[in-house]
Amino acid sequence: MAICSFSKLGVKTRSYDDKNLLPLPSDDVFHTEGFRQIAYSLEEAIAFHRETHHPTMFNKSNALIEAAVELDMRTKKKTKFVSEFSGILMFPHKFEIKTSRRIVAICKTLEQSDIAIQSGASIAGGSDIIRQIKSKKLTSTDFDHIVCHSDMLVELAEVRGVLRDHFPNKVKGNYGTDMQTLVTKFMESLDYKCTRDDIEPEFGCVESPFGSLDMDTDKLRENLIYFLNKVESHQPKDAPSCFIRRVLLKSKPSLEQFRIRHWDLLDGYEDPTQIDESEMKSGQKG
Amino acid sequence: MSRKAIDVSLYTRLPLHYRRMREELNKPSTRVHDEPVKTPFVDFYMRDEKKQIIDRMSDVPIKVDYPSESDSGLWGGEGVIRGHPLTWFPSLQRAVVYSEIFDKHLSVVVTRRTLQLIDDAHGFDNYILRTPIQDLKSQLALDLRRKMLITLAKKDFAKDDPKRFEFIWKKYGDCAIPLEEAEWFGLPISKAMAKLISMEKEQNPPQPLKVKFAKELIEKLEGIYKY
Amino acid sequence: MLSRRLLCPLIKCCPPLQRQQQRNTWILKRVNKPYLKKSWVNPLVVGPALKRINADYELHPDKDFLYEVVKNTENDKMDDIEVLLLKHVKGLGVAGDIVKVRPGIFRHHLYLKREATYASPENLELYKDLIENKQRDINAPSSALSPITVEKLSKTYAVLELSSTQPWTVEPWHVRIALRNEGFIVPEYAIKMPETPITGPDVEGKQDKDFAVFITINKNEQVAVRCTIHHIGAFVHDNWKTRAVRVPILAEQKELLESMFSYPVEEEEEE
Repeated sequence: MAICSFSKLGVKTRSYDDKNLLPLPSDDVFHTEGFRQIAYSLEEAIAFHRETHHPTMFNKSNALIEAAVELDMRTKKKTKFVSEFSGILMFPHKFEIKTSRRIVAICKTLEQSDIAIQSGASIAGGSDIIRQIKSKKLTSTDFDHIVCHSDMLVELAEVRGVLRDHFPNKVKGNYGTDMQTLVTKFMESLDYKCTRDDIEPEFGCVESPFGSLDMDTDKLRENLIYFLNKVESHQPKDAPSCFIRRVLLKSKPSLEQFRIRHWDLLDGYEDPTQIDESEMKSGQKG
Repeated sequence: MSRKAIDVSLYTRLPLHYRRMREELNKPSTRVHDEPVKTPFVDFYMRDEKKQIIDRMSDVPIKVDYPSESDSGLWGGEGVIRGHPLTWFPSLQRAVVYSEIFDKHLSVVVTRRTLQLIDDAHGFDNYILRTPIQDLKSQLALDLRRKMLITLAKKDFAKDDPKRFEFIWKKYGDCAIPLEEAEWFGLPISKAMAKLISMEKEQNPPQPLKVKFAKELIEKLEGIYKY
Repeated sequence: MLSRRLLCPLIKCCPPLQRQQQRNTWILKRVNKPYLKKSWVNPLVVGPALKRINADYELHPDKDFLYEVVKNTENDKMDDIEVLLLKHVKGLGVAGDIVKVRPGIFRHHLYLKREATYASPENLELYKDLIENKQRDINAPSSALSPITVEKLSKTYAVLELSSTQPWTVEPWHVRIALRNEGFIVPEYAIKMPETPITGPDVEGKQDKDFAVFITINKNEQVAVRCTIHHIGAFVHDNWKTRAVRVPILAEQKELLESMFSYPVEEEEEE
């Protein structure tokens, strides 16, 4: 269905498909046009990015490294696709990134609100804030996250309909008893969002930085595995195929992007090139 | 004496290998336009499952016509099917094929099936030489085969290139037959009979009656002269 | 036109030979089962050997000539065939290679030009020497792809983006990254740098100027590749490739660079 509309619109599909591409040649020097995209290991891809940010070139050894994860949004039904999702990332290894976050802290006592404001929340308060939300003076455009003390949950339930996605839940983990850890957790976290368009609903993409180039490669690996696992958790259980199709590593200001062997990092993924070869062999026998 | 009787007597005088070839040519060929009917028990099928009645299954091949045009091309067994309201034709195309024995490119009318058969046989020469003759269905193919066999029998190929000569002999040498047989191969009956008549004439040329009577007269006269 | 006009009355007076005329390879099936004699009438007509014998009764002129199309094989896709190359064919392989090609290309081009032959067991046996000597021939291209790679490399401008503040000397890995940006995979051992080292930063002296490196494909063919230095942050025209005559950095490479491929200079239109 979707492919039909492409040809009508004259738009190229964004999803990567190597059916019509040739397997890599045995030559040591060749042009990659028409061949399957080379899948590097994570270490190789990071080394390539480090080269381009070498002092003699871009001279930016602390540049951020980003991962673009391409997803297969199909579900069991042919006409239904995974809806757009978003979430927050709290990496096991922290790195410097400039983000502006506006956090609303809802707590019972004044002491708690002081702690919240000290640790970085932009607004802190109790029932007065709930009243503001109720009267729509404070809307979702004014803040990024709401953090709530467990004692105030019952009162906050009044405005559940207004808050919708921002209402605290267990998955997000934005309620608790210790205001300081709650606020700092959300201050240091990163947002990620899956983008999808109606022309090609089976293709989704999530992009997020997961470290800087001067970090240890092992730390970067752990961060990336955490990110990929987090993305994979959004796949419905009865999906027909693997969720992650391709992972690209990017690093600005360099325009290069390298495909990595994500099947080495994740459980439950198989090497697509090996599957092809085994199929070819069995086909020849048959 | 009727005409047919002459033909029969002539036919029996034809060489044995030629008559064998004609018999071979009349054998049933591979079925191109239809598939044999599949039956569960030899040529019986179950007519009634409940009562366990079996009946004979007829398997009559579809009749294929080979018009005179097929003799000037290589149709690979395809032909014209005249069905009751409809008629089906083969799709013909002109293609260039290469013959290793003649070292020549030939432009012939072929079908897609012929090209496939040539590929399956690994070359045009192999297709012409090694296909069962009843499957060729073309006088042109038979003529080409005769020419090839004569060339092989005379070893009249690649004379200036010994390497190539050896190459072709290795490849097609097993198809060679004696020259005497090769000259008769694939001839249509009319031509074969004409050939036979001319051969017989050569062997015992007809004597004019004038000569015969003159001889007899001389013999008689000789007798008279003695006495 | 004339022939058609002449034929027109003929066509009109003749009844159509057939209603449907399609020129394809057909596989047909009988609609009706031809009659057979009862087995008690003719008990001998039994068994597979006699299958080919026609029906006992004569075929009915209408009923028994009613056919049904099972399949039309005209549009079936033919499989690729394995062929043995006898000469080097651009983009396919070198002499002695066994490759798979579309049958049409082989039948009408490669086989007729005697550039390839069928990879049958007999042919493999006959061309044994050719297959074994494939590696020894030095003048032949090292692989099917290498002539194409040579052609592409010789028309490439590899752009080295180097720092305009930090000191540098051009090294093979800089060239490797520049070629990677153009889509070429080149290992460092294949790159042969000019003997005189090129150092910088030198925005005035070396910006948008060329030097040449040699690249060896499969340790066999050598190509000269044009490299250009661009400093990061320095201004570059959009049409820098065709704007002016290229200037070499090293005086010793002047002749080499002039002999290599370069885009013709286009004069700018003044408005």
